Amino acid sequence: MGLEDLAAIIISTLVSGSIYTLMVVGLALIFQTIQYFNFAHGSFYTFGAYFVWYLLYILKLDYFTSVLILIPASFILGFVMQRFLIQQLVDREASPLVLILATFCVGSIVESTLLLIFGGRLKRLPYPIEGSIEFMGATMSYHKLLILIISTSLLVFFAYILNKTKMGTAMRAMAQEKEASYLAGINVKRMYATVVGLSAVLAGIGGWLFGCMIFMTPDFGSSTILWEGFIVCTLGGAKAGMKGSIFASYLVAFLETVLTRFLPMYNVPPLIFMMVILMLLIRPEGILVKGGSQ
Amino acid sequence: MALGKKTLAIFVISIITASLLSGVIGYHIAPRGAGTEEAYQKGFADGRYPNGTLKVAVLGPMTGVLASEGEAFRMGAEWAVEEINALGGICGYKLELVVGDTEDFEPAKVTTLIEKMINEEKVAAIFCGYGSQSLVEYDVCAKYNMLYFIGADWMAHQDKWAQYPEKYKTCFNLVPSYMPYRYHFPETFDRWVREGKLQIINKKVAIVYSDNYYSSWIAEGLKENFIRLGYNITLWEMVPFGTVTEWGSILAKIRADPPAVIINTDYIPSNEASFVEQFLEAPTNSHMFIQYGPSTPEFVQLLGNKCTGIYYNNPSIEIHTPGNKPGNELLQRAIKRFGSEPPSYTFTTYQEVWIYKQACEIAHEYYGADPKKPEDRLIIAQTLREKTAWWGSVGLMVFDETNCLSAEYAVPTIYQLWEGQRFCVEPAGFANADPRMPPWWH
Repeated sequence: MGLEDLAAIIISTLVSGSIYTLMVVGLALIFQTIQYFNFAHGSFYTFGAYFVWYLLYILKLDYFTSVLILIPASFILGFVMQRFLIQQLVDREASPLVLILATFCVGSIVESTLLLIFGGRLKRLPYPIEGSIEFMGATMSYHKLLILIISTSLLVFFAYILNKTKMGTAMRAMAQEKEASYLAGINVKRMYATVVGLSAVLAGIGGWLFGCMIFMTPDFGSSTILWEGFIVCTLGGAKAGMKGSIFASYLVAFLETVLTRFLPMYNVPPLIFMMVILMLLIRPEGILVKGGSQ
Repeated sequence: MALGKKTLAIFVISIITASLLSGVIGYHIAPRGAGTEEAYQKGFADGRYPNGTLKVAVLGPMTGVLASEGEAFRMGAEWAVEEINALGGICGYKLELVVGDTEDFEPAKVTTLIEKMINEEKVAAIFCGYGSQSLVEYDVCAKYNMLYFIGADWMAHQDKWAQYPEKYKTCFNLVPSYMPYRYHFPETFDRWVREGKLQIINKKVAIVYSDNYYSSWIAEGLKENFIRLGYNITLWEMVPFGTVTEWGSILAKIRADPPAVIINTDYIPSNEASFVEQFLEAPTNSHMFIQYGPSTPEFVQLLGNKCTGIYYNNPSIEIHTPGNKPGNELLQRAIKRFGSEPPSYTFTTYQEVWIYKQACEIAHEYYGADPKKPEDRLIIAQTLREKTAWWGSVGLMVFDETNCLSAEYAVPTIYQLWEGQRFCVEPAGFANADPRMPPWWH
């Protein structure tokens, strides 16, 4: 294997890992805080891509404005889902399965609505920046570089929020002890909705970035990215928080890239799933989580 | 805990607002059709539909990764139904179109949907671009003598007829033989190289295909024929059927040992377009052949000049083929109706409905057949085999009496995309350009 191959593996790992991170950090945030796996998350991804497409091509806004507007729009989508649907079920002490099913329904509704409005014909977002650079003999597009920069920046920003702000402290408190959070005067319901809103923002931005790389269909979020997010969450341990999620994202990206380099692509998904099963058997709490099983 | 009134009110208002907003957005961006509702009403008022309504169905993947294809099937059928109704319908019936979603073509879903169309919707005929790749739905249609029109899966159609001759008399397939997909490009490409029209760096071929019958059958044929012509297959890689977004590892293998030709028969246009884009990040001195995807307008529109140099083929002439007057005219009418070129399967279902109309009217005139009566479907089927001919977008369509396949009048063609345009490069009788070296050659 030459330097160029190594560079290609590094680039692929970093880019895929960054895409997975944008998906998984949001999922892990929700699971850690509110204790359910959000199956609507894939549709938030799809929403992000189609929303930017609409702003660019129908309302004819410029790229920067379109992406800026995406942020509050995604936040509202997540906030509303949590506040007016999931929270009602949580208040009625619905089981986790009911919550999962509810998110599944929301995801289906979002993607069906997108299909109804935009149709099934393929669409594409333009690259914000065209062109490529050379890296150790391999070529890397500016868009891939943008993915790395944006995902890193967002992760740093979210880490700052979680560790250095009152809101972050409240989120961490709720994750550890919900009842005590109520007693401490935290508006738990509003915080939950905020968590899902922030998670939706990450997904929406991920969807926009991913939508530039593929030809969009109204179900691309749930049919492709969501399942990879599930795998990463399981490997990293949904309770492991950001660290576990980030580590698992890049680990899965690395394994996929390396395995596909040496094995037929067809054999790689079953191998990855086997690793998930092994992880669930050996260390069900996740790679970085210490302590007993979940 | 009961929902608070305030919360409930906010929730209801949000839903209503979201619905209204969706409607406004949908109205704002939905394509405008030709719209002949006025003609329908006038028709009824004039008594041009004395026999009432005749339901027909169009089936396709209206959701999922191939939703763009399903939309194409629906567009074509709707277009034909509108035109036919504006002209008075079929045998005094106004056509009413029912749309069914085959989702991911899983055979159980397709057969269940067809049972529903037959038993609940009571349709008189079913139109489809393509269904389950193994055509399991043929057995359901045979059970009810349901007229079923399709424009794909030639191999499965042949297999079924070979197994049970005469069972599937009501299942009609508009495609000509797919055999040229296996040999036409290898033979033609080799000839171009020997004639000096194209340069090659070696006699290696890389083939990528996906896990489905259509893709793998064509890939195997290409492999077989390239080997027969003295080429070596240096990459033979299968990818899972479905969305594939990251081709980096496969392209790394290709770049490590650049071949003369790169072939991708994973027929999902979005996958193939991603493949081309990622290839172009660091292209090799290879010619590229892509199966089916480049024939869709989206592939060309969305890739733009990036698809310059790519080859694709067709087992017959197509709407773009120079000199194909009926096809070219149909294309112009479609552009006028839809505002831009619709996907190719729009023309398939469009012509299926028109061929059905022709057969019904001939059967009615000769045999007194009524398209609404299930017992008369066999008569209409017989008429389709014996008395129907249609000069359409792929040339003359006549059904082979022995197997209900579009008979062998087809002329295989090869195209090269160049700066957003399609150029026919083979055969000489239709070609409007010679094959050119791709722009990424260095």
